[in-house]
Amino acid sequence: MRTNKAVELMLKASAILVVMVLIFIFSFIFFKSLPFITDNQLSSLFVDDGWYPTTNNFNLFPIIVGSISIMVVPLLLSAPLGILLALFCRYYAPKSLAKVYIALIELLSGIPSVVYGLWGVLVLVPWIGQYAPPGASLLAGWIIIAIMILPLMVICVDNQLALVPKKWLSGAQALSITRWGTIWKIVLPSCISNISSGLILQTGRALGETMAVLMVCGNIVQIPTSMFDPIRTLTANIALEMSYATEMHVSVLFMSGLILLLMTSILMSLAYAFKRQPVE
Amino acid sequence: MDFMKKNIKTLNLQEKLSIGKKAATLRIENLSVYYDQQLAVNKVTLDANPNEILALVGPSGCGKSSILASINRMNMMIDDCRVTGRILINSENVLTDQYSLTKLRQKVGMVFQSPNPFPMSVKDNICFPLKDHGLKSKKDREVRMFDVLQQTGLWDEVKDRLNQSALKLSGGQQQRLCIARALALKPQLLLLDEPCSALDPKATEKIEILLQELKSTVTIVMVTHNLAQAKRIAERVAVCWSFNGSGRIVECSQTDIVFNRPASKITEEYFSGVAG
Ligand SMILES: Nc1ncnc2c1ncn2[C@@H]1O[C@H](COP(=O)(O)OP(=O)(O)OP(=O)(O)O)[C@@H](O)[C@H]1O
Ligand SMILES: [Mg+2]
Repeated sequence: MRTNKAVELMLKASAILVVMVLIFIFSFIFFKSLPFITDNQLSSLFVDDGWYPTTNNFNLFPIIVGSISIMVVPLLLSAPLGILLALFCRYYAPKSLAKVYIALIELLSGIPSVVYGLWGVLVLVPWIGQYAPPGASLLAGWIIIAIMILPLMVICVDNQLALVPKKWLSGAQALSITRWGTIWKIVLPSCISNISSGLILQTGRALGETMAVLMVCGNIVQIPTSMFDPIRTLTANIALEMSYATEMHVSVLFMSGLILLLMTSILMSLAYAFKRQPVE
Repeated sequence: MDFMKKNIKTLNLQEKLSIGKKAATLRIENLSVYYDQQLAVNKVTLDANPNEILALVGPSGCGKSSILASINRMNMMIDDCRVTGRILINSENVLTDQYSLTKLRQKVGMVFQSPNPFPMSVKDNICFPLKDHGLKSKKDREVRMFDVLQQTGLWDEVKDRLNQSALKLSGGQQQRLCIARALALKPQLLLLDEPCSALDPKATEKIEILLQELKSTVTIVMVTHNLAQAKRIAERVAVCWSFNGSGRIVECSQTDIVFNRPASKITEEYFSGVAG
């Protein structure tokens, strides 16, 4: 293949740049958390008396549990709903309605998380508080995150549905196969792996979400015993404490960054494992 | 599978099937097809007799596919596509809303240019549409599958891989599977849009032989770019031509007449490679 030298150079340079930035971020976080890793045993993250950074008690476990729970339940809530909405849009709704619908959903996905958080603080939290004080809770976080990732899920599923080969659909139409039969036996089996992959990637957003969670979850460090308990997540923890942390505390915060990075990597590998080459 | 032991019985059933139903008569009257106000097919009148193969030939873009897709109302799904005129199958106009789409598509099978088996096992490719159409008994479905696989000459080739993905079959096998899938619904009319254009000569020959066998049970309308193919297997040939972007049928009669003593100058020029 003939190539253009200048273009090739630019492409290579940008590729190298991206890798360098990545390596820089990784090593920065790693070296910043190194004091904690070498001075303390890592196990202190799980066995210390609690999270009292001022007295060097660094039990991160409740916060990790908080982060995981804020991620898993919204996924379970919004993934099926997202799949149903996308199927409705593509196969049931009249074309004009579907267009408006997708446009609205794209708009929703562009709303900054602080706006969702604002609604959560002013409406959702007081409402939950009426039934189960204090209101700021795991449940509030679930609802906000589920609403936030729902549009992302719909878009992600719709993108996969768009890749289903048209010739299968026209084949099904020519045989007068029912709409649901077509979806259930042809469409979904052929793209459910890639849908799962996409949905897991979107879950990464829930894990990384900071502002909205910070605003509605109450930020108390504890392992929740009910969904009405306030919780704190890793991201919220970093945001709350970075301004006054010193010495070892700083190092632990970077450590929790490292843990977030690790969790994201696990999600990515999961998503990668689910991914399939499109047929044909 | 236990039904295999009853081969002889099944074959009897297959014979009964062929006797029991009649190939359809097709009559197209004044068919016009518009795409977004653009007239693509202009007042076409055409018919196909029971148990014959009618080949539809003509240059690219003259509206062959549009005519074919009007018969089972496939192009009515396309936005901005409007179809006028009448299409009579066994003297019943199928272009009205009163004529049920399910009934129409059961009666009229369609095979596409590029083989499109569903992404499922060979067996399910035939059994799933039957199930979807309400054939409840598993055994009935399997018997019907055996019948159509036999009919299309696929049985010996796929009997050991019924549970494998149909996408792993060769192109020619996939296309015959698609024909089998269409036959499973017991159509009276089979529409094929350039069914061999994606296949090699060997696979093409198999399909041609198959189509000639099939015409004892169904009427076949086939679009083809391959004039030699039309000459080989069609009883009658219709020549489609585009006039200012709108397709018309310039001539339609017995194959040897169209090829040897064409009535229209356009046909003559098209066949000799001067036009088209
Ligand atoms: N979905 C569509 N939307 C708009 N115009 C279309 C559509 N399908 C076909 N046409 C137009 O209608 C005319 C006839 O097309 P058609 O596909 O029926 O021709 P054809 O004879 O089958 O051609 P080919 O031999 O290339 O398959 C063409 O001018 C084409 O551009
Ligand atoms: Mg065509």
